[in-house]
Amino acid sequence: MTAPLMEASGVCAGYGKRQIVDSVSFALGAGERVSIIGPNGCGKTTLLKAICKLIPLMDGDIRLQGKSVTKMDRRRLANCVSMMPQISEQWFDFTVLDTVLMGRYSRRHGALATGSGEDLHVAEECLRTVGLIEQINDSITWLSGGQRQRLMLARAFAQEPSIIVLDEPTNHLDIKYQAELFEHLARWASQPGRAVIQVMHDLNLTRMYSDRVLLMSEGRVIASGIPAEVMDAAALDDAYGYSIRQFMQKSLGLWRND
Amino acid sequence: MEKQLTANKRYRNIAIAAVFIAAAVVCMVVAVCAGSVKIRVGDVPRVLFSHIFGQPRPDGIDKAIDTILWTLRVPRVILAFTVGASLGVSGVIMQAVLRNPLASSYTIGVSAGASLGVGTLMLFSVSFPVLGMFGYPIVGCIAGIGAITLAIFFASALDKNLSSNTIVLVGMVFSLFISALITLITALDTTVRQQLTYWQMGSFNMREWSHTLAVLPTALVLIIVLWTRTRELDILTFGDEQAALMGINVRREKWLLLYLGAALTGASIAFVGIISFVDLVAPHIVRRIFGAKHSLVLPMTAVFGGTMMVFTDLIARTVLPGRELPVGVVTAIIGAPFFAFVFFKQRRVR
Repeated sequence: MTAPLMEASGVCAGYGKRQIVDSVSFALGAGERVSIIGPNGCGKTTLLKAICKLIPLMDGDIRLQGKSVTKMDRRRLANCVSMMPQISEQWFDFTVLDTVLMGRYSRRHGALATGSGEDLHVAEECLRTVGLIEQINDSITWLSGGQRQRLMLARAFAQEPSIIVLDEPTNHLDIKYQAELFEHLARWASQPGRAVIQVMHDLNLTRMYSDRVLLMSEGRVIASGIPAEVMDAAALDDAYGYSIRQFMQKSLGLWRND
Repeated sequence: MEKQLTANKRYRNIAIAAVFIAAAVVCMVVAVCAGSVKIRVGDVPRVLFSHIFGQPRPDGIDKAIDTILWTLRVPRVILAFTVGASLGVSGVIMQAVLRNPLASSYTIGVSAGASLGVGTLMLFSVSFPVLGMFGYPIVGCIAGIGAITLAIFFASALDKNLSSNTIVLVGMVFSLFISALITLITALDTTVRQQLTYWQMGSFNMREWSHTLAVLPTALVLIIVLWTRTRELDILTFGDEQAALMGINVRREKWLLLYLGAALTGASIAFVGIISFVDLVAPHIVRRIFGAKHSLVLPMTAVFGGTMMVFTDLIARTVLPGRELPVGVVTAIIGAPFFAFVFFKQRRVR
């Protein structure tokens, strides 16, 4: 078996002195799409931030292709992991192309390096993938929420990382784009040496678009495995403190009655 | 088709940049010629040539004209251009790093802090061994860095996330506090009142080559260093987290840029006092024309800020015959409403 792309062992993390993630261990193999689910405040996003080294580890270790993230500088880390961020306020009107080219930062050295032909090619390819090639010269301030979200994905692709991390990627997206986003990701992850970690709220999408699921509760991973196994009614009800199956069946029932 | 559009945009930008540079040259020539003593445009290159290459005074040029041109107007115009360019560039840095359209050395109190530092030294006629005239811009740099450190220290004590709004708010309070200190000094020692009042409003009056030659190289070095950081500036506008994810050492880069920007402000205002709004307005206008990319915005703001400063200084010394206004008053009168216009227009669009 080949070495995992990422290996988290006994990860504890949090903000300031407050610990939120409590000894989480898991491995991410090439080609895998792993979803992290769980109720609000269970530490999903905190775990993602620890993987991206946005917050320091309190204990344990995260290794990317065998190397500890604590020993990697930001540029090197950016070449391994990219995160599709939530949309943030932006009043600087960069063009779509300029924004995607920023994803090439960690791959270009030297203060005076400008976009090379290769960078431009990669950027255009990424924009084509997410269906924004027509908007390449538009200002990002003109884009709709959904378009911006796809732009952020294109920029994450442009970093050419081995792992893409997503935090509730379907915010701002209508159903068609939600489905398309996961199809882009599935296609991306099918290339050798790539994997996806996604924090998910939508359990239907989780079921449809994950190879493996980690269910978290109160900072710990309480179940892990293929979606059908982990997303067992009793375990979900327990973690969320709510009857998930009943909710799903009720909503499906409404569709049938229409 | 997209490639065509990109190329068209590049040509458009080059053309506008050329217009900006031409306007800067024209503005500087007009500023050198205009004033209580009018000078013919044709005489300017001849006088400059004779001084730069150590030639005797050209035929047909009066000694008085030669003196006014070479010892008063030329150094003053170059100093004004340098100061305007520096303030503009420092505004670009502050707005990008703090991600706030209202940020600038003037609004966050760096100008006030730096000028208090340098102004105090001037009042007590401190002289610098070895450094000579360079002492002032260097003290300006240090005072600017001190001012921004203090402003951000206070801001982070109030708000750990150091949100841009907090920084701007603290800067405003900081500016008011330093203005109060300056007023206090003038109240205690009335002999310095006029000097300090002028200092607070900024002026290029009576500035000569020694001042210009001390500020110009300092500013030039800082601007060139900052120009090498434009990719980082672009990325930092997306916020700390995204910048870190794209491979930037955010903490180091942010402080480096803020310090360099503050040093640039401090150095540039070392001899002229507080000049308001140029650093706030110039980057906005340039961004509206060239877009947000800093590799273009930064040098063009230097050109535009410099031109704006030369132009406002020209107004300051010619609008009232026989008298001179502090240039900071002119920049505020033109700058404040213009800024309001740009700012509210931008908000409406969003």
